[in-house]
Amino acid sequence: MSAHEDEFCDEQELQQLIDQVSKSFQALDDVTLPESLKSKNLLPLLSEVEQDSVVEEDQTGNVVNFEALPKKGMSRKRMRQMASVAAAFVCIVGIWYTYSRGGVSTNSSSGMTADFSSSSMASATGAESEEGQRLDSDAVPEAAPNQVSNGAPLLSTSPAMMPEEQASDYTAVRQALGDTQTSQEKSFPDSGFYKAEGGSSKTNPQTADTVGPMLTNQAPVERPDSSPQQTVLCQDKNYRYHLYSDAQGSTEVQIVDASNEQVVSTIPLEEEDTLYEAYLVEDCLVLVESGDWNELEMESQLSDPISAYTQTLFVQYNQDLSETMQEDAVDFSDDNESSVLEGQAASTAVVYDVANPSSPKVRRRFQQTGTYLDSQVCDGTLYLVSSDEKSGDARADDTQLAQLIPSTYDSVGHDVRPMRSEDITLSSQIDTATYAVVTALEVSDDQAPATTKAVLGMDDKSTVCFETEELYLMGMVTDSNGSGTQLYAFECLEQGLELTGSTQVMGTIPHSDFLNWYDGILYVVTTSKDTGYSLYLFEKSLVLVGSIENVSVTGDSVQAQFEEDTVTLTGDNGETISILCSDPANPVLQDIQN
Amino acid sequence: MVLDVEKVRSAKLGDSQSFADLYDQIATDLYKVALYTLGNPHDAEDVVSETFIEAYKGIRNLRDEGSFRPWIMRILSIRCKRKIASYIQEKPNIDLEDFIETPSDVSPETADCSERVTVLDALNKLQRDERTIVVLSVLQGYTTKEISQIMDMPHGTVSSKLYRTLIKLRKTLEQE
Repeated sequence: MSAHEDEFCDEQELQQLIDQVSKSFQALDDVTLPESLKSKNLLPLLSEVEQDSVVEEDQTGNVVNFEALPKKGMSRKRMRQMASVAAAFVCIVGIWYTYSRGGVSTNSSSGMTADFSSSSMASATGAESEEGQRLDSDAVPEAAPNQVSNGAPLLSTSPAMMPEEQASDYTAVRQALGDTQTSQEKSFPDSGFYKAEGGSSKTNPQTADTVGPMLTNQAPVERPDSSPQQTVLCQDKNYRYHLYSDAQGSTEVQIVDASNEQVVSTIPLEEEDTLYEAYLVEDCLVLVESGDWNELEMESQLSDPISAYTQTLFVQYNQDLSETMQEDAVDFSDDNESSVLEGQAASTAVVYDVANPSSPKVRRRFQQTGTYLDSQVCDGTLYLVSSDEKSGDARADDTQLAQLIPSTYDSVGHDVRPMRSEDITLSSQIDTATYAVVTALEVSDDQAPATTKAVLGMDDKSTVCFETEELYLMGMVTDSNGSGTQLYAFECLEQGLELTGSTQVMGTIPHSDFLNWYDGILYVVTTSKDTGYSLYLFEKSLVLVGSIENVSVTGDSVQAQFEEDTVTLTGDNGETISILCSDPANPVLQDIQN
Repeated sequence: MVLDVEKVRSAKLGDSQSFADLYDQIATDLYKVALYTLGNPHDAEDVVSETFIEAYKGIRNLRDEGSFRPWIMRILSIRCKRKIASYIQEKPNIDLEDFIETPSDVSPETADCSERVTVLDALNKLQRDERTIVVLSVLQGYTTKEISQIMDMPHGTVSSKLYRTLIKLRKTLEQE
């Protein structure tokens, strides 16, 4: 039993409770299975599934659809024969591919292609290996050109086969980070972490904490320069919210009465911060900014009741936070921890109460480490996504937690905390010490706690796709031989944000225009310079519905367009390919026009 | 109940009868969890039959043959979640009349119908996740670790939720 469980009860106490309640629950135990749910009545439904899972062979005898389930009654011998053919085919292709790309890499982080190959063999057979152990299939198998998968999962979309693992504790995170850093140091000796003499860890001042360019999916709101200018951020029927910059570079949000064009109030912005988004949600104005963690003084410029929270913050920081941390009780009381956070890149959402526009008040401020990636408001919930690269040496025992784990601050509760380990997911392939950090925050309910999740190993160009209740995070994983995309689905449930699914596909997503959501299906188009374009169709929680792979579209710049259930890929030479997805399990290549 | 691993292997190879045999062993448990999570027999039937098909389609991806039971329970849990998402009302309530007036759900041996109503009423006051956790733990006998896998929820969260929910339930039951 972990430490946090002890907070609530011990095992014996829990069992006693279960025993007590069990007596009452005996009344519920007597349930008769409805006749319709007996297997004899459900079995006919499976015949349809089996009909869709015919293993096809092309004219040359090569198995071209490895994904289907074996036919009922197929012998193991026959399956092994097929497996051998498939394995040999994949091996030959793999060897050719590997040598054509310049040989096999031995870098531990370069297992992508190897994983794909082995996965292909596992998936291709649809059966056990010779040793009776099923090979993991966390990735997309190499596929024949224009292969259509009829709904059977190519990838690790089954809940039992999530390609990532949840961090059991901070030790697991440290271990994963340390392995990544060791690997990176071999490849890039000038990486931003190094060990100081005596084994202690310090940050390389020349390279650490360099945020680099803001790699975001959204451009910041442009601040006018040289002459006073204003940009409309958002508006309702009575007021407009302008971003105003004067000639000296001071920037503020002006609230303008639309009836008489008078500025009724202003919200000053820090010069160092970058404003990315502004949202109006009922009586709240949400400003999403990116800057440094220590940019916490702006509340003092407003007459709001929490303007003094900067002081509160550090008082709180120096207190024993074990009371507020539900598990992984970490002594975060070291003075140095707070200084470690200062200067780290942070993304901030400030919620202003604008019920009285002439006197906006800060209702809430939420901050998470990492450069801003994206944000969206859906159904009153703000989703904030940042990319947090950590430079602390995870292999040194004295590296402080804040250097390794994303941190958040929420004015509700006035506390700064490192993320709980249980909220951190370790991706299947961690090449960088970068987290994608995702937060869901109820804008109008300033008492509802924000929930934050993070995935370690996401690249800093992660793509985000929002749907009403779902948020999809996609990041490239790559090595010298190939690239793929990891996808994670988050859902805002009653208890907060939850990771509901994950998978991995071949190829990369060029940008967010290659994603679409239509009629309950997530459309994902990926590209690989070796295998062309692929379309994957997922239900919520990233359950694969269907796919079509290795579509060839010529031209340097290919655009993807989505019109209802049709996906059109157009090259800059005019070549157009349409994929009809009226049956998502069976996407069909339609027109090819030149 | 120990499931036959050989049957799981056969099912993975596409033997639908083996899969059906496995399903039969746990069908009632699946139905119970769906019934008490969703609150009405009709949706529970839908969800269980969907789970049956989805599990058959996906069983070849099951790595650990010994974990068939929690694995299919996890599929059911996801299906329940989707079903709830489709409800117009955010919080599905258990329709007591469904339980009381549907004779097929109540065997003649049921000793005390009023106690059943009392427990259902107490369940009705829980949130969906709380309800599922309690049903899996108290009715099905899953450990908190297994529930965390089934519901894809951190172990600590399951333990604390279960503890708090049981305290809440005990209090409600004592009051009634």
